[in-house]
Amino acid sequence: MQERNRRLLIGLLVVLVACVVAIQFDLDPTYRKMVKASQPVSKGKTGDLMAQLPGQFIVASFTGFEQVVAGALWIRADDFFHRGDYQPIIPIVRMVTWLDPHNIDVYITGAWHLDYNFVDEANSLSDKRYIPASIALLTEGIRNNPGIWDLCFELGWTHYCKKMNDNQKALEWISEACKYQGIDPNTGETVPRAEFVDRMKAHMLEKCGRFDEAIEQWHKSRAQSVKLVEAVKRKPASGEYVDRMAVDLCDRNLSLLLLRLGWRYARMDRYEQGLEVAERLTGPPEWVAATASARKDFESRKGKAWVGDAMKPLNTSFQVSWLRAAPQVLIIKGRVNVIQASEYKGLACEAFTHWYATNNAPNAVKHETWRDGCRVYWRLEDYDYTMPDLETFDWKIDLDKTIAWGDIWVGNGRFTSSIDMSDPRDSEMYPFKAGKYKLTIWMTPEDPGMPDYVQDRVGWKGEALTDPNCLDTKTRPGFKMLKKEFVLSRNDII
Amino acid sequence: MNVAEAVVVEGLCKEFRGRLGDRVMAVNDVSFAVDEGEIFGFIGPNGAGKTTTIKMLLGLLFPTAGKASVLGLPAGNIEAKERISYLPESPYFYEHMTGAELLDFYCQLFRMGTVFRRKKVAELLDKVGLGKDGNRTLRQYSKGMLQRVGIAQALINDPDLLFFDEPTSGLDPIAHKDITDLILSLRKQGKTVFLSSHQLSDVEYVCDRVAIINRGELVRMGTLEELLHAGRTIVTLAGASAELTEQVKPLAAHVMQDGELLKVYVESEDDVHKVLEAARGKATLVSVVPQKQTLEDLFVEIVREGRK
Amino acid sequence: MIIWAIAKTTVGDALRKKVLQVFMVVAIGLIVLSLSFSQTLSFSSQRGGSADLMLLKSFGLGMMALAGIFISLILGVSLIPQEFERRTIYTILAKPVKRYEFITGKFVGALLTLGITTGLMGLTFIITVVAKAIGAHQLAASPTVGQIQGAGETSVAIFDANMIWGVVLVYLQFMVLSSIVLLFSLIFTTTVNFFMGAAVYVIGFMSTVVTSLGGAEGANNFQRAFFTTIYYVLPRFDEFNIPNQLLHPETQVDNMAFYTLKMALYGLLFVSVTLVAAILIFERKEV
Repeated sequence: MQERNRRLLIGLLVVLVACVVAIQFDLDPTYRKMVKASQPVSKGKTGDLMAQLPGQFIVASFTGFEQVVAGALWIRADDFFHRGDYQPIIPIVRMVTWLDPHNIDVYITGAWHLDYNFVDEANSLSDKRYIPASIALLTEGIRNNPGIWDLCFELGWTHYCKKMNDNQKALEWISEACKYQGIDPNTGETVPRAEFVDRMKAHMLEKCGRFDEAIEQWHKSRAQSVKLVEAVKRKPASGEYVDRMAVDLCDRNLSLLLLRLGWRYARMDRYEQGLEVAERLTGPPEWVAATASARKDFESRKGKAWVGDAMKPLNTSFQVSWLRAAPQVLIIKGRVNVIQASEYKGLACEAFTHWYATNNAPNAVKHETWRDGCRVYWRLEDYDYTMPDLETFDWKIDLDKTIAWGDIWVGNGRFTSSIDMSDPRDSEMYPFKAGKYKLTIWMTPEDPGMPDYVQDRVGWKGEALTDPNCLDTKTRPGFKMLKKEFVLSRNDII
Repeated sequence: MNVAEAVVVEGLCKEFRGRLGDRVMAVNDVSFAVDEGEIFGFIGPNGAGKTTTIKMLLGLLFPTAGKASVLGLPAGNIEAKERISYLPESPYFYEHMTGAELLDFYCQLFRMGTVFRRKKVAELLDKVGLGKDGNRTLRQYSKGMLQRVGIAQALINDPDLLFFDEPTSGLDPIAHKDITDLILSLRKQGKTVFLSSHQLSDVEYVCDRVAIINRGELVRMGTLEELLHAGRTIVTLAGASAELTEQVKPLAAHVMQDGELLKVYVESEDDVHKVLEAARGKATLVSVVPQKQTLEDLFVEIVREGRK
Repeated sequence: MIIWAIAKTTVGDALRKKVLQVFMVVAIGLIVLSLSFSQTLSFSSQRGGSADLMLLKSFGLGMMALAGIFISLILGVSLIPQEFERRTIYTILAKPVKRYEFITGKFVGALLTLGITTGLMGLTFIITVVAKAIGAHQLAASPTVGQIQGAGETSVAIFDANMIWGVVLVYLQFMVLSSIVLLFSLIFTTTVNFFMGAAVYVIGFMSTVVTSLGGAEGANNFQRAFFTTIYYVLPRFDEFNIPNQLLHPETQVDNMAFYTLKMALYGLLFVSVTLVAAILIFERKEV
């Protein structure tokens, strides 16, 4: 080869190498985004992740068999689930998410296991010490898979709302879910996210007392549902059934929200808006009749001053006590004036619900004295217990800590419940190692334990609640609740 | 340079370096020229540097020093390769190919068109006697058939200069004859053949000139007439005494007692007469036989000298 | 024409290697056998179809990748050296064949051979996946089984284009590996080359580890320079190996077709680098 050609080739080599490096610079950010899951965020426990996995899984990952191993492990987890043996599932969840960090199902199912399946023998209460792990698992899943609404919704709804009754956090995560469109897991194509996500955001806003935002959200949700209906209509050959149920659902919920704002707080503007929305619905006949009745009531109130249903104080006379029926068996009982049937007389909402009239009708099947259905919540925990905030998923719980909570049904203004923590099989769940414990019993309109019809009387934020001893306005700023705390010693329980 | 020279080698050297830094001079200052149209024999013992020299001429190895040209162009030149061909010792080809496919492959290396290739392959197979075996895979070929197909690939481009390295090695006598006849026919066509072979009888039979290389150096070169001298005369005497034996030893190149016979190897005619004169009346003359030197004799002599 | 002729011959010769055939047949056999994965998960069947389909896909891609490593190494270490050992190179280079034509022909032949083997494995893999998907689709549509398993929410896609990208990425990965090993075969012996090639693959696969080593606290300037050089010089095999993203389309951060195209460009550039280097070395190599 001539020297000139040789030099040209060497020059070409240099240029090619530069091009390779340039493309690497371009590919790096994309690749890092794809695999950042393989570098979990952790402080102080970095080595644990690798140590938890046997060597063959690390080898498997080099040969490209990570997903095979992950898949095989997940099938194994299914076996354990069907046998009712839930304990081994959690380490498998860790291994699978490490090997296959984009398997959305595993995060969702794993977190559900943690929060719901480790229950005691006597009360079917779940072990609350796993809650931080379930939240950390889902948070890790969200970090590894940004833009997936399912994970955000799971965290908000299944865990923060239903398990922890923390509506603020639930709203935060459901709102996050609303930012993302759905993606078909088979093809990766963008599809509309499930309609219920947006509706749930509206519900959460309502629960958190952000009514104006809730109204706006209902409008948005309705518009989205209408769009989907129109899209289906435009494809008559598709054979798809044009289901207006979602649109009607939005109208129904929006109208009820507006009507309740009207009834509870004497807001005539909202009352009127609610009626306009309610009148859009053409069925069922009971709804149409109720709407017409409410319309009459609205017309009759125009120009008159009146007090909203939730603005009339209600003395709840909340009383609660506890006793130890046996070692590690506590009985909680009490009374609360929530809610007598007589409270519904003359309420604005009665024009729509007709409950009081129906209950007092001569031909009523049953004349209720109390409108039952409320729930009182209790929580027993080590006095200094703080629920940990895990940065990384770690299913190891502190076996020395005791924490349990549940709810008690209120009937005829009374409630009582026996909490049996004495079963030897539950000793790990209720260790009672601490010397001092806190027992809290409370009732708040924010929790699901206060149905709509009770809130019709006391308001979303407990505006009507009064109590000489147990009224609490500090725990949830802007909300009133009933609360009683007891300090117990270990001897009190054991 | 004389245009009529097909190969010119001047002061060619090739040094190989071992892994431990030791150096081996495989070819040391070799110079020769091959005329166009002649069959040039290139012989030497194993490891003498024959194949190394040929590889340098073909551009497969690069000389450490010296110059070589082939058909007027520097050794290894692509244009020169259009007009030369090479049959290596015990050629190995792609076993999965048939004879026809192999030749077709080599034709493609000469950038021949499809139609022309087809014709050429059929022609070559016939020429080397493989017309019926062209569609069999090389794995099924005998040694002789492989050699034939090797010759066929060497004739693809109708070369002006052919390098043959041990073309008759391992062949049966008939195939052997065929190859030597082929080489002679090539000369008749005006082609130049550079023949490297251990079959000294073949070299003696076909070559116009021969170069002998030993330990990397060119030892002898010339026509056979120039290289091979008349040889010795063997005077055989019977009943020679020890005294007579001592007497004739200075006159002879070599004296050998063969039973009762004394064989005296004498180089010149004068010395023959002197031996006869010395033996008159002292021994019985059995025979006086002139012995012609063969190429093998020369070869062995050179190699032995080299070992000393 | 010469390059193509040498490439064709190389393909014919390489595909007849028993070792190569064994790896390919075993890989194809295992991919087909994986059809027998028939578990369905009660809690995973709602999203993205059955989990055993995902297992099948991941197994197939993993099997192809594993077989590909060995095929690339075996092909690369022996392709050129055996021309020397068998002396077939003499009759070729004695013809008017430029050295770069010979080397380029060998490279092209090796890449074609890899393409054929990957293509066969890939075709088997895609057919297997489609067959399984059809089965899962029918199961989901079944009035009794589909309802019980709750598999009706999202139906399984019969054909998943991501699997094609997966096969292409496997091919590109091993195209790069075999080109490096081909280059090394001009410098190292067969055995050394095999292990060097394997080492390059492993280091290239662990590029994120290399980065962290270079960026680790306490690393001195030499160590940083060394690991950074390795990071940029060696090919990033892990960037070709993204089964996670392929199996979970909903989590893809880049359009897979576009990503594959970029990786193809990266791979081709890398092969070009090795080819030019090989030409430069071979021009001076004594045969």
